[in-house]
Amino acid sequence: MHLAIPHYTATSAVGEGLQALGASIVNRSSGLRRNDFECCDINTWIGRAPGISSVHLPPELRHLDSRNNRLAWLGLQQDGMLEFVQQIVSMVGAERIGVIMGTSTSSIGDIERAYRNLDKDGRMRPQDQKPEVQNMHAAGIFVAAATGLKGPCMTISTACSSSAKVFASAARWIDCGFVDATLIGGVDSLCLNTLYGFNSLELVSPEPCRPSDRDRRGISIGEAAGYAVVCRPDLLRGKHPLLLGYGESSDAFHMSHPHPEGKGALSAIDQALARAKLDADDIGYVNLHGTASKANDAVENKALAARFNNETLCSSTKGWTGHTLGAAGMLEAVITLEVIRTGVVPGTLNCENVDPAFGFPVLQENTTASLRYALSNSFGFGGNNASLVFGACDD
Amino acid sequence: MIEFAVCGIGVWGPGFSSWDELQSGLRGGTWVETATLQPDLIPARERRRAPRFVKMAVEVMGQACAVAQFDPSSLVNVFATAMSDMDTTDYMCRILAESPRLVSPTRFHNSVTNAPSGYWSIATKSHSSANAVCAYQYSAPMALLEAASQLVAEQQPVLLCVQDESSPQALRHVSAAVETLAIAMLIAQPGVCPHELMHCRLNLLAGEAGWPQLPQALQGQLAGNPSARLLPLALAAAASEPVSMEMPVSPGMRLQLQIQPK
Repeated sequence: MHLAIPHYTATSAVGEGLQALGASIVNRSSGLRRNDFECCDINTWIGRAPGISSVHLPPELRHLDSRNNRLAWLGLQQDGMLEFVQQIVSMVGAERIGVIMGTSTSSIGDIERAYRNLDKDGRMRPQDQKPEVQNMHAAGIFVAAATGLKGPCMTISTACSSSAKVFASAARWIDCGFVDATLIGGVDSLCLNTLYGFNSLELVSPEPCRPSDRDRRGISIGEAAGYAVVCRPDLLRGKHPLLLGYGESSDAFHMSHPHPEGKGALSAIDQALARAKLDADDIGYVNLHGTASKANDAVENKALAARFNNETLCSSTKGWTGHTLGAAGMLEAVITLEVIRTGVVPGTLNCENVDPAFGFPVLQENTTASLRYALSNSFGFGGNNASLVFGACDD
Repeated sequence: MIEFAVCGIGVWGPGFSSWDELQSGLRGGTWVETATLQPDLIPARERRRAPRFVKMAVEVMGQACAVAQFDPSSLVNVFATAMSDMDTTDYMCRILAESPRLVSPTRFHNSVTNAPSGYWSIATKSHSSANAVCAYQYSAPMALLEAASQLVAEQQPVLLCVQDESSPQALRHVSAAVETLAIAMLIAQPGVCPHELMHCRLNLLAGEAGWPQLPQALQGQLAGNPSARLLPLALAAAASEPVSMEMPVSPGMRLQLQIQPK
């Protein structure tokens, strides 16, 4: 398979758009900060998107207001994404462009707020009732409204693999001829559900997350919005990076603990390589799921050792952005595409001593490399896994 | 155009807990007391942790596989819901409005929209792909579109399941569902499965369409349930003649279905 990715962008704790992302990676400056999220007293660090507090939705979108949709809007403004979408609309028409968003909690923060204000009979107050915001598809509804796209529109919610899987569904929609192009995205914002939920599982770190480190103590939760346009390679002139393969699998092991041998992860990686018609040795860089939880990093490293040779570089970028949950698949797809484009390979930020139990080398310092192919992993609760293979522009 | 066969159907709703009970209810007007939901597929340890939302999805998916006489462990699955597990959402948001916020870790991991797919994969030891999609009022037809695209791309049968629960009081403005309903369908390429219930041709077209009518007997209890939008398609399997129907799949887009019962 070959799908062009003519445009992409990401906004996260390190700032808005590709330039801020690239600069933070080169400077090794993390976007994580001590938890200062409203109404949250957990001792942890978070990846808060700094621009979100100054976002005001335009009047025609104000009925869809929520923290998550503000972040979605902020992300859409970057790198000329909205203008690029309009350019594709003028070529093929709004009906021929789909929308697929990935999110784990969508606008649940808005429901949390309304629940703090229920009336004495347990009903939501009329001014708090926002049906189009208080359902999981709110992210898809918002992006369709903000862009005017009229093709099929859905939201994928498979926890932390959500916005990796949007690539797979978009590829199938294009393959079936449902659409000529699809705007895909991932957006997840900080909320009490995930902060207190992961805290209840003792998975949040009291310090900035340290992926692959011997002394890693858990995840730092972050927020992000990222987007990509994917289309048939013959739709546009010029050279564009490519989606070459995707793999999706289930662990069939446990709801919140990865398969100890990484069976599901390997299945996703193998499917993605097979679709791309590549061997593991062809892959120059792997962007790890790399959450900095004890279990994830150990199992993922084991899976890499079983498949790749030591020449393949691998790192986690969650030390910059935190774990952005349902947005992580898209954010890290964008980072992987930028690694291919710029040749700057991020070393794992905050990883001082690689876990001595790991059999596969983890890149600690930034380096440069000319890469043709790279892979990104995303694994979620429910044992839901997705891997993506990207390639440089066709010669 | 995509052509597929529906090889198995599972249902659970008000007055019926199987495809046979739904049909006899519609034929004779006799509705049964819904059985206790206890899907044997889920291992006992997991069953204790599983919410009702998960148990019902696993039950109907198991039913659809049994009707089709298909091994559940090898199936790609697509789960769709407008509102996800509202009982769990209600619990989480209530606890988070209290002090101290003592969230149950099990209830938190059950809160992911793909919880039914996760438990299903554990129950059936399936390492296949599992998707969980939401499209609010359009979730059921979107599940069909997504499942059909997976059937074409992966060239293997797909198990689809749609489910929506009755709403807790604080969320009634978001969903008008007064009864819980789950429907599962096993779809395959025509000719792959020896037990085919119907053949369908599916087209995605621009333009508006209305929702297909539910049978009179089910309208009162299920008209407000977004998952019931897939019921007219399921019921076409019991028709004696070919059936055509359309339904919206997104604002401004519709699915056209031509159905040949077997």
